[in-house]
Amino acid sequence: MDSRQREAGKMTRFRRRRTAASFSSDTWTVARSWPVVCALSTLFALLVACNTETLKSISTPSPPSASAPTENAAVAAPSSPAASRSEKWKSLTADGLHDPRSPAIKLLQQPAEALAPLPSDEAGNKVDWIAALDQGLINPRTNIRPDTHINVLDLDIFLSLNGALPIVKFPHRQHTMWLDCENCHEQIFKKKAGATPITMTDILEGKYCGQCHGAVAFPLTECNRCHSVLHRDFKKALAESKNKVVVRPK
Amino acid sequence: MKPSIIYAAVIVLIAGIFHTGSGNAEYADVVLNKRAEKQGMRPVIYPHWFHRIRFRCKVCHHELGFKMRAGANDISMSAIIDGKYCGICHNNDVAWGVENCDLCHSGLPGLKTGIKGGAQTGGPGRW
Ligand code: HEC
Ligand code: HEC
Ligand code: HEC
Ligand code: HEC
Ligand code: HEC
Ligand code: HEC
Repeated sequence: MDSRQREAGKMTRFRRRRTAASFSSDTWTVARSWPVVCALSTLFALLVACNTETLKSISTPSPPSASAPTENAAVAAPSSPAASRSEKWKSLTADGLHDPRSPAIKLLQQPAEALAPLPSDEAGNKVDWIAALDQGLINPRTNIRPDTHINVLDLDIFLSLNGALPIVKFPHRQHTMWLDCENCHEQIFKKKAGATPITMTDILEGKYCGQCHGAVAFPLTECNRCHSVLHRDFKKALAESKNKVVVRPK
Repeated sequence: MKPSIIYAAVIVLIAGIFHTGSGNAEYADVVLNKRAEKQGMRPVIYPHWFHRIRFRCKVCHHELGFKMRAGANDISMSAIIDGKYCGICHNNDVAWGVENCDLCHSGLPGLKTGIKGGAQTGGPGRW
């Protein structure tokens, strides 16, 4: 048990670093046309009605002090309760899943302890996992068996060119840092741009992108993370990506 | 106008998603309780956030063969002890071993198998 705890401690002693809040006014550039404004405001109104707490965490850009990581892991360690821990991550005893009477509760790591030092985000685990990996703050293993490895592919796919919302840019690089080609091809997506009949309704039902986004990867409330390219910036975005395929509507 | 239909669908679906999400659980925690509680053990809580700091998705979902659907893998205690599923790592080699029952069996009684933590998708059946 001792060595286990030591190992867990080692994994979480990340470098201290301050990151600017990643949420920006960009979010609201999504609201370019009135139907979108109407839709989004109704959406948020509904969210308030359904779950005020979730709303708080996704729609309010947290003040810089709250989004910056806590001083260091020790401050947020289980031995120093509530006071200094941010409300961003619920303690295991209050998460509605773990049994507070379980003998394991003192041994398991608190999410705040591991996640607070990582670049912050507004939704999901409240961690920008891509930034955490790109900046080398985490270094998750790529394999258990020696004969497998990770294949990173730098290929951007631009989808939904004529929608009311900004264009969707699907980046292979960020996905293949975590996933294998076979996690998506050919089960979820065809290996030919434009060949898969993706729709937003299906995504919200947990198909296509929604298989991961909304379950483990950042949730679907983050419209602008996928709908990220404004129509007027399209040419610039195309020029910036080295390898790309544009899916023209039929 | 077609887009407005889509917006309506988007709103209704998202509202549905939030309505029944277990808001407090850490995002992407998985409850595994097809067998455990019936056999007198607490339900199992599998934390994605904890494991993805240490492993890429591809390690479990490609190399080790975990299907990406909560409840879809037929995980049983004897399979784990035989070195399958969680037991590929929880064997005192890659990670601590199966004798630490409480670390996995840490859930509140009565939990249902599934992915937890706020926004979740997966079709009307889920919510
Ligand atoms: C790819 C290898 C791997 C697989 C597969 C795996 N784990 Fe783990 N798990 C780890 C490692 C590594 C740790 C950290 C061990 C340490 O701290 O020494 C860990 C830790 C844990 C913890 C403790 C978290 C904490 O707060 O300390 C739990 C609970 C857990 N695993 C449950 C599971 C369950 C349930 C499964 C099967 C559904 C599973 N794991 C499958 C590698 C794995
Ligand atoms: C995980 C990525 C992702 C997220 C998050 C996302 N979308 Fe989409 N969305 C897509 C993709 C991919 C398509 C393209 C379907 C196609 O090829 O036509 C799309 C298409 C759409 C369309 C139809 C095309 C258009 O632009 O009019 C609408 C409307 C839409 N999404 C609304 C939303 C709203 C509102 C949100 C936030 C609540 C959202 N989406 C979040 C990926 C996403
Ligand atoms: C997260 C899911 C995901 C992963 C992982 C992934 N892809 Fe893709 N890939 C896509 C999507 C989405 C498309 C577009 C499909 C469409 O529009 O129908 C695509 C399209 C493609 C295309 C077609 C491009 C064209 O010119 O038409 C190729 C080739 C491709 N992927 C190769 C790969 C390879 C090789 C890997 C592994 C290194 C990989 N992909 C991993 C999601 C993924
Ligand atoms: C197999 C799982 C999976 C599927 C399917 C998937 N994603 Fe992702 N996506 C991820 C993961 C994992 C990340 C890493 C960030 C995270 O976990 O929040 C990610 C990150 C992203 C990012 C952020 C990149 C960055 O630089 O921050 C975008 C944009 C994105 N996905 C769009 C899409 C779109 C659009 C689709 C559908 C065409 C899609 N994803 C399908 C797993 C997936
Ligand atoms: C690495 C995590 C892990 C550890 C450690 C662990 N279990 Fe399990 N156990 C599971 C999972 C996952 C299941 C399947 C859960 C389900 O769907 O009900 C399970 C199921 C069970 C079941 C239900 C019957 C069956 O055969 O599946 C019993 C009983 C059980 N475990 C007892 C134990 C005991 C006793 C210990 C300690 C010696 C232990 N477990 C340690 C993960 C673990
Ligand atoms: C240590 C192993 C492990 C790692 C690493 C891991 N997962 Fe999982 N994942 C699981 C287990 C176990 C389940 C539950 C399977 C079950 O219930 O049968 C699961 C379930 C899922 C599901 C299904 C959720 C649903 O809606 O039903 C998705 C999607 C998923 N994982 C995506 C990911 C992504 C994306 C990553 C990388 C960021 C990842 N996983 C990393 C073990 C892992």
